[in-house]
Amino acid sequence: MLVTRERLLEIYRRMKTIREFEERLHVEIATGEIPGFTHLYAGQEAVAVGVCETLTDSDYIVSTHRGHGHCIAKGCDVTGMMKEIYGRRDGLCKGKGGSMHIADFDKGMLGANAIVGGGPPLAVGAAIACKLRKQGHVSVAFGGDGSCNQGTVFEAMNLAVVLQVPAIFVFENNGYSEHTGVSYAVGSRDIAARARGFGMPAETVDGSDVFAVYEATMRAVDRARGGGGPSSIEATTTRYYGHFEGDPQKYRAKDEVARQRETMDCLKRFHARMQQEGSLSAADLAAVDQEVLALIDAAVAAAKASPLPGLADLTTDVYIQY
Amino acid sequence: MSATRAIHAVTMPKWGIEMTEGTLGQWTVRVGQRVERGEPLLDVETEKIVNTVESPASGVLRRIVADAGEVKPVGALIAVLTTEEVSDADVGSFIDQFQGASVNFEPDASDRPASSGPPAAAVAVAVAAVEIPAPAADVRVSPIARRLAETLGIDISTLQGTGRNGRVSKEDVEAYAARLAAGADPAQPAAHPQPAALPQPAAHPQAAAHPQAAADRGNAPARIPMSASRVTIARRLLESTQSIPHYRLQMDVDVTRARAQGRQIAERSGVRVTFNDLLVRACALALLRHPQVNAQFDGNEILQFPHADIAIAVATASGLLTPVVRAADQQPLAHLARLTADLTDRARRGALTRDEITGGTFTVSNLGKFGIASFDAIINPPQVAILAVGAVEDRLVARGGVAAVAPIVTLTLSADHRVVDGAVGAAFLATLREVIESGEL
Amino acid sequence: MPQLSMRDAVNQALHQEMARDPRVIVLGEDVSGGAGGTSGEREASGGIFGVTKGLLPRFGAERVIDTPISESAIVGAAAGAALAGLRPVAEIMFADFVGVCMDQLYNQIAKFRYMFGGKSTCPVVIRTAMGAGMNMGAQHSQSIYGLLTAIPGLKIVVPSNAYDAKGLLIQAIRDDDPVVFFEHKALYPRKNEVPEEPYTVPFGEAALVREGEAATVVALARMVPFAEKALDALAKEGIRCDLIDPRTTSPLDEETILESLENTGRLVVVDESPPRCGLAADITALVASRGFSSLKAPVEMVTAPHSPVPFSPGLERSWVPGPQAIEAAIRRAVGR
Repeated sequence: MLVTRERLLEIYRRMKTIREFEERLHVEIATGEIPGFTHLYAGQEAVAVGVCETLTDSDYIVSTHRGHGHCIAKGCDVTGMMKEIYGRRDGLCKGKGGSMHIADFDKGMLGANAIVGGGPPLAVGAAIACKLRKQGHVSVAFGGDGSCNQGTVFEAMNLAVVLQVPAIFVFENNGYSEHTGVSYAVGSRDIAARARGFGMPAETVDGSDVFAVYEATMRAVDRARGGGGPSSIEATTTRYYGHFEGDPQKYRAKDEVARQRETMDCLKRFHARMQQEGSLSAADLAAVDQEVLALIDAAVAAAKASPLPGLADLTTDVYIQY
Repeated sequence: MSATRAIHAVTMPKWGIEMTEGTLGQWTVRVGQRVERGEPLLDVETEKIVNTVESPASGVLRRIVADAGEVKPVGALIAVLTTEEVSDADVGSFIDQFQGASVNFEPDASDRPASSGPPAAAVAVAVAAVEIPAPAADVRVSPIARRLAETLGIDISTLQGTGRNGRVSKEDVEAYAARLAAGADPAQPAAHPQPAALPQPAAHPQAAAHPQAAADRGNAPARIPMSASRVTIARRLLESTQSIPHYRLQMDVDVTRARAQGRQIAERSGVRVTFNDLLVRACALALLRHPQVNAQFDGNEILQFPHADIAIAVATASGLLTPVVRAADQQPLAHLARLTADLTDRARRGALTRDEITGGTFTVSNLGKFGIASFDAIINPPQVAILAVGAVEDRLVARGGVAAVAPIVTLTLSADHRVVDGAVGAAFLATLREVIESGEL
Repeated sequence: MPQLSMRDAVNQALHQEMARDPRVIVLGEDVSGGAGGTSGEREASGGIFGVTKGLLPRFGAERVIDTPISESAIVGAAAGAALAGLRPVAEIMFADFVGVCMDQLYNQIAKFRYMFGGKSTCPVVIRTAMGAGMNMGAQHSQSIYGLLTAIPGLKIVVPSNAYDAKGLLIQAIRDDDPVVFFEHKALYPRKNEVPEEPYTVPFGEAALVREGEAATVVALARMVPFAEKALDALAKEGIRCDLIDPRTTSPLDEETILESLENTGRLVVVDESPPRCGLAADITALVASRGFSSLKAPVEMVTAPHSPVPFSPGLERSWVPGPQAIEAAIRRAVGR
C-alpha cells in the first residue's frame, strides 16, 4: 500500500485542491461572472483521487459533466482549468468548451462529457486501443448513479466484456441523479450487481475513504493490466452542492448536507487517519492547506485577468483542414 | 482568505443559468454584526425559487445597500463585508467603484456576426506520419476551370489559384486569359478586367464528332487549341452577327484623282501613303458630314461622336486586330499615313497597347491586295457601320456614252439597321464617293 | 485496368489501408460474421454486403472486430479508440440506424475538436450503407447524408462509382478529421475501371461527369448514373449538360457548381431524399444567394416525396427519382 510520506501528502494535496477549487467556484459563480452550467464535485474527492492514484499519464480516463475532480486528480493544470471555466482564450480548451468539456489529452484525460452516459463507450474505445498496443495501459470510465441507467452504458459494459478490454467502470453513487434519488431511479438498487450481471467482476466501496477506493481500484487495474478484462466499482459518496450551481436542492432534507459534512467528509476522515497512524502531522496538513489556497487564489486572479477569445476564434478548430 | 481581500462584496447571486434578477427579502443580520462564512444573510426570491444568500466570508457586515422588496439584477451589490480593519471612507469608495458582473442573454450592439463562410483554416497540424499523395494533376484546378483553360489553350501550370483551398478557379483562368489578350504581363495578377473583355468559348467544343472515323480513313486531324484572341474574335463576331440586323450597300468609286493626290503628298512628305490611308481619310471626312454613322450603339442609347476614330483591320499571325486612328478627320494625310504605318507595324509585332485597340466609331476593312472584287464585312459592336474595300481594278466604264477605262474600287458598307436607316447609309456612301472622287483628301 | 464493383473497390481500399497502417482497425456488426456460431466458420459473412470480406483472416480478430448489436457502443468505441490514437473504420450496417447512435456522431465525434480547443484528434471513419430501390422498407432505405451534412465537425462522403469510392475511402482513412462514408447499396455491383494501386480522391472537389451548356445538373450517389441515362436521351436532341457529382457534401465544392452555372444559367439538382432541408435545398440556396445573376430560369429540384420509403416495389420505384423524372426536369429548365 501507500506508505511513503510523499505519497500521502500528494493524495491529501490532490483532494484538498479539488475541495478548495470547488468551494471557491461556488462563491465566484454566485457573483455572475462565470457563464453557463457548472457542476461541483465537492464531497466526492476521495473517489477521483483514489482511482487516479492507480493510473499513469498513459492510462486514460473519461469524465462526466461533474468533471473538475477527475481532471485535477489526473493531473490537469489547475490554472488552465480555471481559465477554461471562465471562458478565457488561454483556458485548457481555448474557452471553447467550458466547465463541462474540460480535457487534457497529454494527461490521458479524454474529456468531460455533458451527455450522461456519453463517456463509457469512449472509454471502451480507448481500452480497445490499449489492448491492441499491449503495453498494459487501462481506460477508466467515470459515471454517476444517473448514468448507470443510460442505454449507452449498458452497451459499453457488454461490449467491454465481449471484447475483454482493459476498461474499468467507476460509478460514483452520490445518491442523486439530478433531482431524483437513487432509491427511486435505480430499479435494482445495486449498481455493482448490474455490472456483475453483464459478466464482469464488481465491488462496492466506501467512497469517502480514499484508501478503500485506492485498494479496490488497484484490484481492478491489476486485473485489466494483466489481460483479465473489465471490472466495475460502485463508490458510495455524496455531493455537497446541487446537481448544478443554482440548484436549491429542495429534494434534500435541510440538514442532510451539514450532517454529511460531519460524518462523511473524506478530508476529515483522512485527517483522522493520519492522526491515528501518526504518518502526517497537523502542521504538515496545514502547510498543504495554505499552499492549496494560494494556488486557487492565483488561479482565479489569473483567470479574471485573462483575455477572452475573439471573433477570429469562432470558427477555428471545427476541422483540422476543410 | 488572502490578506488582500479585506473588503467583500455581497452581490445578488446567480442561481441557475436563467436567473437575471431577484427580489430581496428581509435581512436577518444588522450592520455592524459579525457574521461567519456560510451564515444566512437574507432570502432572495426569483421567478422560480426562494433561496437563502449565505455570507461569502467571516467578518463584519459594514453596509447594506439594498433593502427588502427591492429588485436587483444578478451581480448587483447589495451589501459590503470586511474581514479586517477598513475605514468607512475606504468602504465608501469600494461601493462607488464597484462593478458587478452583467448577465444578459440579449444580443447587444457590439455583437458582431460571424461570417457564414466555411470554417477558418486551421494552423497546419503535422499529425499523420503518412503523407496524403498529391493528386495526379500538377496544378489543382476546378473541373470547369480546367475545361476553360484547355479550350483557350492556356498553360495554367504557373497560375496562382484563388479558388477553394488555393485551387485555380474559372475566374483565375479568365483573368489570366484577359491579361494575355491585352498583351500585359500575364504573370502579374492585375485587377480583374471587366466582363466585357473576358473571352468565352464561342462554340463549346463538343466531344469531337467521330474523330475516330476520320482517323480511320487516314485523315486524322491536328487539334489546334484556340488562342485567347481567337476566342475573343470568335465571340464578338458571333455576337455581332446574331444581334445586329446588318444591311449592305455597294458603291463603285473611281479613284483616279485620289491616287494622284496620294502620290503628290507622298512625294512632298516622303511618307509612303497607301490606298487604305486615302480611304481612311475619306471616310473620316464623310463621317463628319453624316454623324449618324459616326456613332456607337449600346442597345439603349446612341452615342454620336464629334470626331471620327477609325479602326483599321490588320491581319496578324494571331488573328485580326483593329487598331484605332484617333480623330482621323483631324489628321492631314501624311500624318495619317505615318500613324497607320506605325499601328500596322506594331499590330503585327503584338506591341499595341490596350488603349489602341479599344473604342473606334467606324472600321475600314481592306482585302484589296488579295484581288477580292468586293465583300461584306461584319460590324464591330458597339460601332454601327463598317466599310469593306475591294481591290482597285481597271474597269470598263461608260463616260458620256463612251467606253473608258478607269481604276475602280468597289466599296461595301454594312450598317446596323436599328440606328442607321437605309437612306442614311446610302447618303453616307454617296458622300464618301464624292469625297474620294474629288481628290480633296 | 481491372473493372471492379463498388463493393470490391471499398473492400480493396480497406485491405490496402489496413496493410499500410497498423493503426487502422475495423469494427461493426458481422464485419466478419460467425463469431459465436456453431459452424466453426470464423468468417461466415465478410459483412452483410460482403464489403469487409477477407479482412479477419488476413489481419486477425484484434483489428477486425465483430460487435454485438450496439450502435452507440460501436460508434462511441470507435470515437474513443480514435482519440486514443487508432484509426478506426466502424460500420453502421444501415444508415437508418444512425438514429440509434446519433449522440455519438452529433454531440461527441463532431464536437471534440472544437470543444477541446483543437487539442484532440479523432480520425474515425464511419461507413454505412444507404439508399432505396431494393424493397427493404422504410427503416432500411434512407439516404440521410443530408441530415449529417448539417452538422459542423463531420465530413460527409457520398461516392457514385467504384473508382471514386476507393479513392475517397482511402482519403477518409488518412484524413485526421472524422468522416461519415455513405455507400449506396444499389451501387455495390456497379463496375468501373479501378487502378490496382492505392490512390486518393480529394474531398471538396466535384467530378465533372458530363459536359454541356444547356444546364448544370448536380446529382449524388445513385442519382448520378440515373442522370447520365437522362442525358443520354437528351443528347439525341442535342441537349447537353454539365453533370456535376460533388462526391463529398461536406466540404462541398460550391465553386464548381457556381462556375458551371455561369456558363449554363440553369440548375437541376437531384437528391434521393425527401425535399425538406436536404442537399437539393442546400444547393438551391447556395445558387440563389451566390449565383443569382447567373440564373436564367428557376431551379429544378428533383427529390423523393415528403414520405417514408414505401415497401411495395412499384410504389418504391415512384418514390426514387428516376431517369425520366430527371429528364423532365432538365427539359423544364431548358424550355424544351
